[in-house]
Amino acid sequence: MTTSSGTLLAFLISRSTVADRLWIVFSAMIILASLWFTGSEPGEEVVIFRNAQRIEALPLDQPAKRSLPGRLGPVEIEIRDGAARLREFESARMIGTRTGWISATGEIAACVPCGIMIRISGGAPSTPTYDAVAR
Amino acid sequence: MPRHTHYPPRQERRRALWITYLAAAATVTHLFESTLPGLGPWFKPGLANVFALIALLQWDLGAAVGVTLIRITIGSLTLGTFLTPTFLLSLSGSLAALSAMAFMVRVPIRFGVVGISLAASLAHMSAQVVVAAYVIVGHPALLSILPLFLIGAWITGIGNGYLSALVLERLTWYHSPEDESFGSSHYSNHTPLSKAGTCRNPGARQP
Repeated sequence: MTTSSGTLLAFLISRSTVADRLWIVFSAMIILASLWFTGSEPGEEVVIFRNAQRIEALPLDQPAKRSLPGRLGPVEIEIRDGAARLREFESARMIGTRTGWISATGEIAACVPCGIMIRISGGAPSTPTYDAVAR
Repeated sequence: MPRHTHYPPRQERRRALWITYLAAAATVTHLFESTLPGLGPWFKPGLANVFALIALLQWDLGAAVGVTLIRITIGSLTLGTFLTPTFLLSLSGSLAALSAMAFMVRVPIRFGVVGISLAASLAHMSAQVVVAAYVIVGHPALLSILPLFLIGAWITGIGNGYLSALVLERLTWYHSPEDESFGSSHYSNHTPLSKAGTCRNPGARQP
């Protein structure tokens, strides 16, 4: 085990220059920093979907509470302090509730068995229409 | 594109042959990759770029441009995506990757295959996302997914770099040492890769 990992390390080092290694670390730092920076982009509104159909969009900056009839029972959607959460009461795994508060663009909380999903949107298409990688 | 390297006639023919070999291999890899099931949109291995790297390091930048353009054109014609947005993404990504390669070769810092491959991979992904955001979707919101995609590009770029290093070693082993000019490309003349252990090349003329 030690020998094989040592061989791998020797391989990785011997095929790269010092500049390569510095560049690998530097680019990783830049990517992680930009991930941190863009990951916390606040959204503008909460879009509520029921059975895959968009039914309502609520602004994130105004406190609100909605109770929707889900397939398994009532689902509550609460907006407070620029964040939103979804609480179900009759779901086996309570994934929507356990997601907790969401506030960044593209974040999703869903109770799939209830058929209810909320998603934070920035008023812009946050899902790519095309893959970023060409076919 | 202006050529910086001129070879004796025999080497010129050999270079042309190698461009077609590598372009054929790259095209097949490109087609194979397009049939891979979704590992997630940001996790395409980009193996086809290995052949462009080999062309760059064994010959010169012009060879890498040739391999890439042939691959994209024939690949998209075969897949039926020629002159579609997908082709535009592919083209912009590849041109960015080639520019990054050219830059990495020309800076006075001694980057090896791995560093060049990483830069090409990151440039490829960045250009694709920027073109997708501004030209195809038309909204900069798409740019927010760029860092996530760059993580995938970072991993595949490094992996492809090491893969290219392995292939290059075997290529230079395969050709006999008395074949003096093989592998003494523009790049290896200016940047002694062999000193970095990146490309063992017994036949290369050292500067």
